[in-house]
Amino acid sequence: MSQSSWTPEACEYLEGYLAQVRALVRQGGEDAEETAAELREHIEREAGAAGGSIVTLAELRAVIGTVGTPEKVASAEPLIGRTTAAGEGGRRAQSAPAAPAAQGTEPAGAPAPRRSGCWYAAAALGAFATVVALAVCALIAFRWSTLMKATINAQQKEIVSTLRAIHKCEQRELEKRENDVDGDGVPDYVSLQALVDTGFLSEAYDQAAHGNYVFTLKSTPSASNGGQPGFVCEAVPVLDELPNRYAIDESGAVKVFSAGD
Amino acid sequence: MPERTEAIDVENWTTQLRRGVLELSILNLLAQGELYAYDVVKQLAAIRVLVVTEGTVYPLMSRLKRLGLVKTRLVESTSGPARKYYTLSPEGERVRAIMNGYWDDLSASVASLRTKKDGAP
Repeated sequence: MSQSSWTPEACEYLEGYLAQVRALVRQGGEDAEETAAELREHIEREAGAAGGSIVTLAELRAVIGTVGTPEKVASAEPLIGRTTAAGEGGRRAQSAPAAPAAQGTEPAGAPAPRRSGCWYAAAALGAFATVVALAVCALIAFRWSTLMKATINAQQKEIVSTLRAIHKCEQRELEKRENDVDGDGVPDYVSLQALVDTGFLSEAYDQAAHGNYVFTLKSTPSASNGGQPGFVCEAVPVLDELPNRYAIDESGAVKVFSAGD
Repeated sequence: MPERTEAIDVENWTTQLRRGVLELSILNLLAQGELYAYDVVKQLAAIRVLVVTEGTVYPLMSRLKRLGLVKTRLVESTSGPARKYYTLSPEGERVRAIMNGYWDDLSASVASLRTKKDGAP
């Protein structure tokens, strides 16, 4: 953090904001960690300048209002990209806009054999394109399971990352010692709704399925757990194609179960 | 015929135009010299008509770096973490020249239509 002091609420809000940015930017295929790191520096600098010696949640929210929501940040769509066109030929084609083909310059009554040649060339090209398309379809069908596995793996990594972020936030809430459900003097973990209220999680996590998973959190008060507070947060898939459900508890260990267990 | 009361909305058009020039604007800015990422964001945000949402610049710069159009270097700072400075790579200079050339052609052509008299070649 910058030289300014930040309130715990502001710290948690920033971490939640950056976690959402990472998840969304990663989905877009860009470098999530680099983007989040640079955003953190930007926000810390702006908030420090605005907040003086102490940065509050209100001041942080004002800064994020100018920086943009996670959805807005991740929506930046780069238009420059790599082309698969061969070498310089492709670049030259991009550098000099092609002059429009002259219209109506073909003399009337062009000889018939030239049109027939074009027709045969187009037919051959069409046949070649069909063969290529069939080959691509066969390749995709053959590799479909691999593609599906890659997609599922990416989702699973995001779910594990989200569970770990929830665990980290629960630890911070515990350190605040503000939530003692059973009144035994030992602080307890908070509910999913409380994490949403702090701004760490978006409301979607406390409602129906977020993405393809439903998140639930069960907090065990210390008095009913031998004096030790506990919690279990589960991510349960809503699609049959997703094989696993995930859980994290107060120890921070992520457990994976088959969705049918 | 009933009079049309809907207003014509050009906001989508201006939004698309701005999206199209933002990366070129970043490249042109970096062509003036090495800049800290924060400074790039602030200079772009100061151009009112670009209507830049500050956070959106960072993923674009990350992408430009991944494409090899910009280079970065870390400079240690006594007042905080090391700062990352951006500068154009030789490939970035080449692409910038191509984009500026197309931009000049396009804007000149569009501008010429504004003074073209009806029926004139």
